[in-house]
Amino acid sequence: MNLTASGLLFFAFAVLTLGAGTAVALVREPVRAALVGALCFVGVGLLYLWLGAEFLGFIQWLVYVGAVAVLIVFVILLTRREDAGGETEGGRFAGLRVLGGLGVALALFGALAAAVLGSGSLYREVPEEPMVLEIAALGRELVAGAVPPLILVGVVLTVALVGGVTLALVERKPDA
Amino acid sequence: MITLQLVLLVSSALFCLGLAIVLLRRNAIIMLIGIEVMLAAANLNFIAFWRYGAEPGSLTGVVFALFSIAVAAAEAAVGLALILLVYRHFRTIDPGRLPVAHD
Repeated sequence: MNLTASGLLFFAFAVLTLGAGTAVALVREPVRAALVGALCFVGVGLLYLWLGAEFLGFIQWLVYVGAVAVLIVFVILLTRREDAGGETEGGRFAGLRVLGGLGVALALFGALAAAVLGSGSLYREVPEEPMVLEIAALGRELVAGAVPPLILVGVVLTVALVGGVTLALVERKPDA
Repeated sequence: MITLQLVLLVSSALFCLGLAIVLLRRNAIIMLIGIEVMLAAANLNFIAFWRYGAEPGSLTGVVFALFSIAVAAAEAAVGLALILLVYRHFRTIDPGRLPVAHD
């Protein structure tokens, strides 16, 4: 297997993404876990770029790293308490829980990997010519074929944000 | 070189990592990050199948991933608001310590 620079880049991005994801599971401090989570999303965006979907990669960075990760750090700071301590360490079934969680995740990975490797039609090399995602073509595709879902997704986002604000609203007592 | 199988293996590993985060961590916010990681792994599959697909001109995979990112953002907003609400009621975001989670 001869590796070119492009292949090395893919492996570097994959290692970055999976390593940051592993760190999220291992780091105890919530703020640090959220920051390595942001690094994992950066890695996913890099993989999108490697695959040729530049627009999606930048959207991924804007939405996940720019918005979602910052929101998560804010909520961690809002819910931080000195006396609350960390996560529940003990419990009678702590070891069993860790073993069970790891077992389920590894079993699922085994099943997925077996399915992927067992399917010969998936053995495709990346096309030689670089693929460029034209933003204009993407816009035409959205306007031509996906108008109702586009409007619906706008409605979903609006309802979700208004609902989030309503949920997080502090109710004041009438006499206050 | 890099085949479709390899990309799909990476996305499978990423999905299982997200699942492991949800199952192993006991902090509702970190569990939400795990869910987002699983969604990102699914999006990676859409992009990979678009890149290696038989019809390069078709943009269906990219459009689907775009919608998926939008829905994931909405899900994060609602989830974090719910976590804030739970914290205000019970003063903890550890699912193991919530009174409703005990049997």
